[in-house]
Amino acid sequence: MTNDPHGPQKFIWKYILSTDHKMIAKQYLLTGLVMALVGAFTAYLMRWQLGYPNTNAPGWGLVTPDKFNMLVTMHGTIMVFFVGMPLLVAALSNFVIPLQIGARDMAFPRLNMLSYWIFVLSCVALLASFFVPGGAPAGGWTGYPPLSASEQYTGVHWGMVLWITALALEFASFTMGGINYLATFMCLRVPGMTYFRVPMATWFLIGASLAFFFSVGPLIAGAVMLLLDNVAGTGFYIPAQGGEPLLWQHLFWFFGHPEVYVIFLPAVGCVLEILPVFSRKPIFGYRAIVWSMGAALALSYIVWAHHMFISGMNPRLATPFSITTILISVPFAVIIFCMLASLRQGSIRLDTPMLWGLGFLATFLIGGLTGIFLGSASADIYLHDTYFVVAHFHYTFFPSVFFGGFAGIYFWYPKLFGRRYNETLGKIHFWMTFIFFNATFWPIFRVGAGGMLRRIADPTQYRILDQFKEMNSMISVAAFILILGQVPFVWNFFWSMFRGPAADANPWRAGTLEWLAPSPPPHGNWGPGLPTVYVGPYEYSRPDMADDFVPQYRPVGVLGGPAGQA
Amino acid sequence: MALFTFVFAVVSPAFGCPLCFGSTPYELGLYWSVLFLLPVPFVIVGVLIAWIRRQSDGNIKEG
Amino acid sequence: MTAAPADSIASDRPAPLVSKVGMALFIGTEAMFFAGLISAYLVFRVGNPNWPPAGQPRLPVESTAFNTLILLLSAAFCHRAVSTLRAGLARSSAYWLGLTAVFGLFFLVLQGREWIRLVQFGLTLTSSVYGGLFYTLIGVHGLHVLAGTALVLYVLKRSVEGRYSAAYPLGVELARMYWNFVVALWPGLYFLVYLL
Ligand code: HEM
Ligand SMILES: [Cu+2]
Repeated sequence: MTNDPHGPQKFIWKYILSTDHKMIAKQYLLTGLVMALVGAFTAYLMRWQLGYPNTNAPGWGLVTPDKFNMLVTMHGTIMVFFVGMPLLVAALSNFVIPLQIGARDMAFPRLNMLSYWIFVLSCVALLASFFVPGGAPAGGWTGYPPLSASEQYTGVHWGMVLWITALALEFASFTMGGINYLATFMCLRVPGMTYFRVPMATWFLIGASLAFFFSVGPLIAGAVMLLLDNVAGTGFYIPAQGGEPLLWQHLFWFFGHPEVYVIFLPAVGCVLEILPVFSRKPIFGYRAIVWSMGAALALSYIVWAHHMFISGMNPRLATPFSITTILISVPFAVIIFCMLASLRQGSIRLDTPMLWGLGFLATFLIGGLTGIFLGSASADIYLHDTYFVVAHFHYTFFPSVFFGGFAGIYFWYPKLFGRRYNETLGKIHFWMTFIFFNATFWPIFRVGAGGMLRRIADPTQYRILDQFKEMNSMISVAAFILILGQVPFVWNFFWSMFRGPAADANPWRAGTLEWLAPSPPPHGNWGPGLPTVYVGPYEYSRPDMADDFVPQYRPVGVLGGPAGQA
Repeated sequence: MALFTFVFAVVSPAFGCPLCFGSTPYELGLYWSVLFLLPVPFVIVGVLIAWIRRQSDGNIKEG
Repeated sequence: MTAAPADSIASDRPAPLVSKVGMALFIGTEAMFFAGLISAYLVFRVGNPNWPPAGQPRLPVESTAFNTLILLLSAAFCHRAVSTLRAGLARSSAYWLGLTAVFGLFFLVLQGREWIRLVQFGLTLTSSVYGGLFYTLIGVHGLHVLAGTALVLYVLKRSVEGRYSAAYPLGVELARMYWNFVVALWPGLYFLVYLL
């Protein structure tokens, strides 16, 4: 990991206060993985309580109802904002965007470093809430008032204040990040890298930033008011003081729906990047995909009220929001079909990244399809606030964060660390995750359609849920194995980082620019001169070429010519 | 667009959630608040794109 | 738009276009933030037939109109600061920057004075949602004016140190972008909160 042209650097500048986009990417990656451990632990505790109600969870003790509420809240918050966001948005954007467009670093490297450290601060604030008097926030990951606006409902005051602070810090951090990604993308593309030669991963990461960037403002506005309710005694969300709790739902979901795309789009980008490489075929419908993403982005800003169908919203709004919600599946259908068409008649190689990519396709499809049930307001009246919704969003979030994320991590692992991971462990990891993810969440649809409510600490209190007793225990066992299934990854990740066989610059024989730089790329990425781009990103198996792919930096017609250094 | 105005302005369907609709005094306020926020991101992004285009055109002429 | 062949490692001066794009994006999120606040304001404004609610004081429409004028003037000064700098007159540019900051501060002082009177009349953060909204929305804008003034003062300091020239007006231009945004928000907020 030390081929820095500037010679050995002090530890602190190289690993802690680095402004190098690749090091910052690794920092985000590690932080996200550590937070994932915390998130998994909360999941374990909740699943223990649901599977074996009111018995002691090994390693912790009894999960009482108030603790259960805190666990639900922290689990959601951590997994969405502190795992999904750093892994998929920050780590990938930082690593991939500059390398794929031929930049030497981000547009504002110091801002980039600042953004990471603010993120660390926000993680600390969030985790600190476990230890303050009153305990962690217990108002759900969506923080609905009045639960979240006043101490009297949950008994939590400082935890809530810390929750809001942590979110505010995080959004400050990701706003800085977003400015960086977008400005870098717009201004630092290398000559020849036109908008329609930009690789898929970069396009979708940029899409994610766009989804985040223009939706986060209203949420911050809402959070300011929520904070004031908590600490200054205002009553924006408290009906007794003339407030309106629905206002929070409105502002939260204005951000919240684009936010689900913030997490989802980078995963799609990774998969789209991987499919052509491992089927040795150009991506099918490049432009259609880019335009579909644009359409989905635009639509994602006008669907948010579908989370409030049941909240007493004006029914005049329900119809248009139903329509937009169902419309939004059209561009995604286009993208999925393009993905499938890209596979057709390819010479498919099932290396680990490809497995994760295909796993993403298979599982996400179910998540997207069940979204359509929820999207029609009339069906949602029955399904809202049941485990059906829980299963829906786990079938969308989990594939995005973990299948998409692992696809990306395994794919760029050689570039990140300059070493190869262990293929067998990678495959074991995949199959454990794939099988037990489905074993966990598929039955949850059934339980939810059978009427099991979300966020209940003890299902045995309800007679109608007695029939699901065994099923709940089974789900819990599957969930525990799913968590254990991550051990091979942790081992593989750290062991290969130091002991894996060295990787060459282009182990997958892929055509995008990042594979031109050495593995790992040195500070500044490209040596003395910037590369120049001559062709699109996915020129595989061209009939007029002897070689089976043309990298972007090679002028077409110059077979095996110089590596395109300008 | 026509479809949009149609659903927004004309259709006032017989919606079946008598439990909650109308339970808040700010019904109308929320309605307008949602309508207000709908176009804002598009306006802002539009302005940004136009501005950036102008800036970069100017740059090319100067350089 | 073609890609700028900016070799960011080679020079440590930030390239002008990139920085401006960054500032524009930042202003975009800020605008969305205010849109959220306004959207929240609308919920209560439209939803309440009596506005201001009974027992709450009316807002100082006239003196704030004067204050609006102050802020608009400061924006004009800020424009002068950029145009003089582009014409090569670095000294007078610094002078205009100073005036911008003074008028910005003046706006804040006047606002503060009105706030003190309003509090005496019984309008506080917790007196009603009306009061809460007023202080939140106008206060948040005030904080932005404060931040903008600080930015202008910082640029003024660097301008006095001779860091800007007709060839390199970037810092002043960025400050103007932000200041324009802060000023442009105000008439809208004034209309919404004081007049509507
Ligand atoms: C075809 C696409 C989709 C449609 C039509 C759709 C529709 C919906 C609807 C209507 C709800 C509200 C259900 C309720 O609360 O009763 C919902 C909830 C949710 N969706 Fe989706 N969705 C789609 C895709 C996604 C994606 C891609 C993600 C994430 C990557 C996602 C994440 C979520 C989450 C997290 C919730 C639950 C929020 C909560 O109440 O805690 N959805 N979806
Ligand atoms: Cu949604």
